[in-house]
Amino acid sequence: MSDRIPGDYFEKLPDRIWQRIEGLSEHPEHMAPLLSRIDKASLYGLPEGYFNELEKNTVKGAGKGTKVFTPVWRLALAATVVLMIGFLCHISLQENRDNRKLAENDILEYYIAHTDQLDTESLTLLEPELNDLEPGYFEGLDDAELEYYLSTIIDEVSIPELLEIDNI
Amino acid sequence: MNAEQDTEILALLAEEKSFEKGFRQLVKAYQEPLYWHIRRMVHLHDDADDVIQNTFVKVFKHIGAFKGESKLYTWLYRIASNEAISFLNRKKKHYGYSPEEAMTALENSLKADRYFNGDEAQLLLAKAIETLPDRQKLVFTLRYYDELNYEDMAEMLDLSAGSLKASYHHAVKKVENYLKKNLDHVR
Repeated sequence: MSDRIPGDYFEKLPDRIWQRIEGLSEHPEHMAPLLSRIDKASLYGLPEGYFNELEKNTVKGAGKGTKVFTPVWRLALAATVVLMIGFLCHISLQENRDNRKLAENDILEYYIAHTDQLDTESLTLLEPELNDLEPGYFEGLDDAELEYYLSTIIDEVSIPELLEIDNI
Repeated sequence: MNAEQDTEILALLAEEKSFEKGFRQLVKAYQEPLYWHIRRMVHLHDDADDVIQNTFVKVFKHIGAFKGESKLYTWLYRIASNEAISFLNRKKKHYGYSPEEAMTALENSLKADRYFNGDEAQLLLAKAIETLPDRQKLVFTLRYYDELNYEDMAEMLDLSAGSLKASYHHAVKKVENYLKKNLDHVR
């Protein structure tokens, strides 16, 4: 193989390549027989009146600075909103349950810790049937027994009623 | 793509009181060529609908920055092309298809699309174009379908006319080879 190349070969090569590129046909597809046989037009259809609607929606949407939502996006957005509402309701219910339980536990613990402060009148507020109990019924009850007693009636007494007891 | 029309549109857009009128005229004048350009890139009507609306929102936001150094329509085509390519990239990322899976998905989508009118050969052409890299696909569709001249394409894509010519030639060759390989299956 000859290592000889013209002296100015590499100087002229870029121009020669560029001339070749510029010499390429403006319409090479005319030299692509299969491509030139395929009909360019009517590949895609679209809904009737689409461009009238597009003009209206685009101007409206662009003016608001937001993208106009297509039916698919509207459905997706509606589904997301429903899911979020459901999730928030669930969280809210869960918190209420927890709060109520917490409140119940707090109240129960309070009364257990302050059993010596409970007098008959207070207990009467807690449980109507207490009126039927003999005086001194609660005397001698230990913490566990009192805790048990309170836990059996706690669901029947409303929180406001119990809180009222604190204020007596 | 009428220079006189563009001048009128830009004059309306330059004034606050006539801005909306100017924007409406712009949308009316360019919605169809831009839509078809986008549609040939993304194929499906619903996708093209999303992209063209995004395009015009972008135009609305940035028309103030248009300095008239390029033609209005090349500026618009550039925005539309970028939006279409971004859309295609997001779609590829979302689905994570291999090239073969992407081709199957495209074929199935086109056949299922109620707005696809093509015959088998045109479907094959759509698939052939789909094998091209995004930039080359863009060059092909601008030249083959929109019949833009190389000078305008150069302005639009910030490339030289010569390199675009070469790119288009390669694209045509690739498409022709794909058709040759697969057209027999259609006949």
